[in-house]
Amino acid sequence: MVQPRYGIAFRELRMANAVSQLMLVDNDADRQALSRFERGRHAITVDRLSNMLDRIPATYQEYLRVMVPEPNASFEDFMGLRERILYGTAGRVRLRMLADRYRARFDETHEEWLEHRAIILAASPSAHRTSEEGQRLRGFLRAHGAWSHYEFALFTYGLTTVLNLDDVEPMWSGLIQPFDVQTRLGYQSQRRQIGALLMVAQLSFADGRLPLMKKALDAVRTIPALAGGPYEELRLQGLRALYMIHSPEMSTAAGRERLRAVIELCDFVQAKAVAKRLRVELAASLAEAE
Amino acid sequence: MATTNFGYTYRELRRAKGYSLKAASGAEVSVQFLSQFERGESQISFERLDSLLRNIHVSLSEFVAAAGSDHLNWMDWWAYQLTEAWRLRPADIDAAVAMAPPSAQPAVMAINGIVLLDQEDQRGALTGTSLAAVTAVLRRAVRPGMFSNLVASLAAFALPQDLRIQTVTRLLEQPYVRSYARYLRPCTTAYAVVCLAEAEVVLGSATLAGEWLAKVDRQLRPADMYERLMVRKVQAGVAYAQGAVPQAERMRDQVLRAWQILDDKVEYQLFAEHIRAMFAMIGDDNHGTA
Repeated sequence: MVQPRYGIAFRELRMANAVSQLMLVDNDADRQALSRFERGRHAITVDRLSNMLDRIPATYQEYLRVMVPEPNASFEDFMGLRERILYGTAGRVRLRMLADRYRARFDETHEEWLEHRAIILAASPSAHRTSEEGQRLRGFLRAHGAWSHYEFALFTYGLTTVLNLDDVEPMWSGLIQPFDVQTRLGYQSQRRQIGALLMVAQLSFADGRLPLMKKALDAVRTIPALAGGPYEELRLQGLRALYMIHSPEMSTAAGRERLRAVIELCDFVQAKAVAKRLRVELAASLAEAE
Repeated sequence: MATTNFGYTYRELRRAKGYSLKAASGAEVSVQFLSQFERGESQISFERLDSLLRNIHVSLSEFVAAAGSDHLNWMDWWAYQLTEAWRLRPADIDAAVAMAPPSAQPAVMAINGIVLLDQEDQRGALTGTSLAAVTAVLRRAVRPGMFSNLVASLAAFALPQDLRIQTVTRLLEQPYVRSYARYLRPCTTAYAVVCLAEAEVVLGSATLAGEWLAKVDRQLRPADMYERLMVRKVQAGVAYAQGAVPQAERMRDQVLRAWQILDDKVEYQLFAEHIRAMFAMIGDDNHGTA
């Protein structure tokens, strides 16, 4: 059963680039096939799609982004939607409302991806439900040994909703041994992996678990995609500074100086949430010293 | 694009992530089909591949990276070669000409011809057919995508002023194209507008460039830190062009200090050289020695 959205999205991309069907094909038979595809009546092979995208020219990412949004649209689309909501008005409230809708649909269908999205969006207000969701999520993550971007994202947001720090050690091998995707295309999963480890470090710090915090920070350093991510590096430097302040083996004064420098940089680049968190920590550290 | 090993790769990923054939095939594909596909069937439709990947929660980028298909598409590959070339690492930008479809080849050749020149030497470097090819790309699309953003970013200093202004106006009206892969940064809306603003500071109106930068700045999110630092870099240029030299130098120092705190020597060097060259060009123009 052909799904129309693939062809419709392709047509939208083609027209946005002001490209005619004739420019993408070599003969009339192919043009007719393209026309049927765009009307949602025909599926095309990966090779042919790739060839036509090349001629527009457009990337796969651009094509996937144009795909008609629907509930099980790609995970990337969903995460993009989440970001857009979060940075819009009443972001957190709206995320919770959307989470509730996903939960309701999960109750009807029991399709686990629905629950996953709810978990990523917001915690359930019910403690009982949170506990059940945590159990199911633990089971899922442990069953799927090698992690890719999806599992890292689930773990990261799961830690703030239905999981806790005690779940980190049992899942450590999943956290640090993803697919060995070292090419430039591995950036997607590596970025999420970095996010997961930074979340572990952040929560460990909040919980006073410095050894776990250090373990996570050291693991982040080994991931190649870090080199392309100044925002991740910024968060890492902030956490390093906090570690320096609180670790008995390191210089508190040096840590505070570094933290001040990081806060100044946060202000310069308008990383407001990070700046706010770090200022609170700096103030607490100075109050302790007195 | 080589797709013959897609089936084997899929099987590897499916097994690594702990999914049975039945679980991975889901509702849209039969187990028999999936089994055939994994044994080497290459003519799979994109729809089915998309569905199979979603069922095991692997993104298209991750999948193609695991399949070792470095040429996901030619533009993606060309963008990567360009960023390697900028960093003075071994790169083959000329191969992209043959890989590109005939319609894109003139623009690719035009860009390849100027991309490694100093910005000063790029002024007026596009003429006749090369300028026509670039102009066609920038004017043609109803909704600029990654290819036209890339061309705009790289040809910024070589464009006549009216085309530069038209391009930015159009870019600012459209939804932003974003990417978190380092090598795809020049394909984003923000990057293109900043490059065009930099050309405008040096070659046209600093005030106009300042307006463009302010608009981009408002659209950036905390995670768009690289783009933010680029905006700050060119804002330093705006200040310098308007005669506010101490302010310009302060901003320059803050940008460079950012890369120090982020522990990125390569970006520090690139930004430092860039700012030095930008100030020099502005200085030359202000004193009429260009």
